[in-house]
Amino acid sequence: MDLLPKKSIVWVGNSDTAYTVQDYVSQTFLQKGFSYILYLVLWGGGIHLLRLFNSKYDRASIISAFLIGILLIMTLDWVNGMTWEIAVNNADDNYYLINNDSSLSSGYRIMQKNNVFKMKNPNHKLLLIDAEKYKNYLKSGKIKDEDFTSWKKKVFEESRKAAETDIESTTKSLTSQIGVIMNCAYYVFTILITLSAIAYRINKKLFYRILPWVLGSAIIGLGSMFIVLWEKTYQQFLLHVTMKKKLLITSISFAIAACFIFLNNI
Amino acid sequence: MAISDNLKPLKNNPNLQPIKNGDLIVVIASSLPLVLWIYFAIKIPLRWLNSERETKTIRLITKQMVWFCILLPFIVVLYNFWSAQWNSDYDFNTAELSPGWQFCLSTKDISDEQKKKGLVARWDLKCGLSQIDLNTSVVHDLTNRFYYLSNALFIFVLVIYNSLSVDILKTKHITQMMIWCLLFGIFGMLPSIFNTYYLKTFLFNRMVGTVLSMNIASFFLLILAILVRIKVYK
Repeated sequence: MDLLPKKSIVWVGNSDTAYTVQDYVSQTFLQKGFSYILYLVLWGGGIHLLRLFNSKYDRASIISAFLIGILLIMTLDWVNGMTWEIAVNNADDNYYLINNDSSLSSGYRIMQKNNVFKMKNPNHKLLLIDAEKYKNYLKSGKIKDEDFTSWKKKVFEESRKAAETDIESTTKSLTSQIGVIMNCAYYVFTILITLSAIAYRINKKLFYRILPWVLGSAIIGLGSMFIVLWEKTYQQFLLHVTMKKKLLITSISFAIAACFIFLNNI
Repeated sequence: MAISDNLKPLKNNPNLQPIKNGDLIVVIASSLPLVLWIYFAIKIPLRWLNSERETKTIRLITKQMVWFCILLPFIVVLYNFWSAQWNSDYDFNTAELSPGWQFCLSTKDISDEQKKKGLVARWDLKCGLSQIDLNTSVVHDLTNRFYYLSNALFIFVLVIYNSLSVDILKTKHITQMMIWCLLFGIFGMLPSIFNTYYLKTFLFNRMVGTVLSMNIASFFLLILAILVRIKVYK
C-alpha cells in the first residue's frame, strides 16, 4: 500500500531566500552499495577476530545482531533518502505526508528566473510546488532553475558575502552533528567496558567469548569517529557524516552481538 | 468537544496526504518498545518472583515494588497519552507535541490563483531551524540520561561489588537484568544517528523515550533484586 500522495512536489526558493542550513543529503546508489559492502566486510572482520581468539560461534546471537544492524542501515537510508517527508500543517494541526520523489535531479530547487510566483525579498520561506506544473514552467521557459546543492556550492565558492552569512549556522550544525556521533561512539564503548567487567567477574571464558565483539565495536566506533577528513564542500561533509553514522551502526551491531552472546551463555 | 472546522484535514489535495488518526498512530508507535519490555518482564523479573525459592522469602511489599517497576513503562506511556489527548480535545488527528515544537508547514494564505499555478504550501526555514535545535537538545538529553544510567551500573560493578559479602554476579537473574540494562542503554544511543530529520527525528525520540523508562525500570528492578539477594543470603 502506497501511503504517499500520488503527486509529488518540489521545494523551491530563489537567491534571495534566507537559507538556514542544509542538514542531510541523500547518498547515491553507488555510495549506498558501498556502505552495504563495507558492512559485510566489517562483519567478516569481526568473525575473523573470533577465530583469532579461538572463540565459539554463537550462531543465533551473531545472525540476530547482524540483521538488526542491516535493518538499521536500511532505515537510515530510507529516512535519509529525501524521497518523503512528514510534517504538521499549522493551518489544521494535522500530520501530512509529502512525496518528494519528483523526476527532477533533486526535489530542492533554486529559481534563477521566475515569472510565475511572487517572492518577497528577502524571505525565509520555501514554496512547495506541484512537480508536474513546475516541470511545465521549466519547459516553457517561464522559470529557470538549478539544483539546491550545486547552487549552494557555487555560492560558497563565489560569494564571500553569502559565505559570511551562512558560516555561523553551518559551523554550528557541523560541530553539533560531529559532537553527537562522537559522544555516541564513546558511550557505546563505556557500556561495553561495563559488560566486559561483569563478564570477567563471572567467567573468564565468557569474557574471552565476547571480547572480539567488544574490540571490534571499539575499533569501528571510536576509530572511525576520530578520523578527520577535510572535506571541500558542505555536501561532501554531510555525506561523510552519513558514512560515519553507518559505521556507528556497525559498531552498535557488534555491541548488540556481545550482549546477545552474554545472555545466551549465562 | 467537537472538532472546529479549521482543524479538519485538507481533503482532495493530491499533493498532501493527511494521516488519519495521526496522533493516535504516534502514541501507538511510541509504545512499540513495550513489546520488548513484556518479553523481558516475562523472561526475568516475573520468573524470579514466581520461582519456588523466592516465593517463600520475598515479602509482599517487595513484590509490590517489583510489580510497580514492571508497570512503570506502561504508566509512563499511558500518562503521555492522557496528558496529550484525554487532557485536551480528544482529537486523534491533531498533533499534540511538546510546546517547543513549532509547525513549519503552512497551507494558510494561499490564494486560489496561486493554487492554480501549483503552489501547495510554504515551509518556514527559521521555524525549521528551531526544530533542528530542539531535536539536538532532546538527543543530547536522552543520550546523556542513558549514559548516566550505564555509568551508574559501571560504578556499581567496580566499586560496590567488591565491598559486598555476597557474590551477586553468581545469581542468574541479577546478571541477566544487568545485561538487559546495558542492552537498553545501547538502543538508547540510536537517537544520535537519526538526529537531523525534523519531525521524523522527533517522533523517533518519543519512541526512545519509552526505552529510557524501560531502562530506568530495569535498573530499579536490578537494585531490588540485589537488595533481596543480600538480605536473604547474608
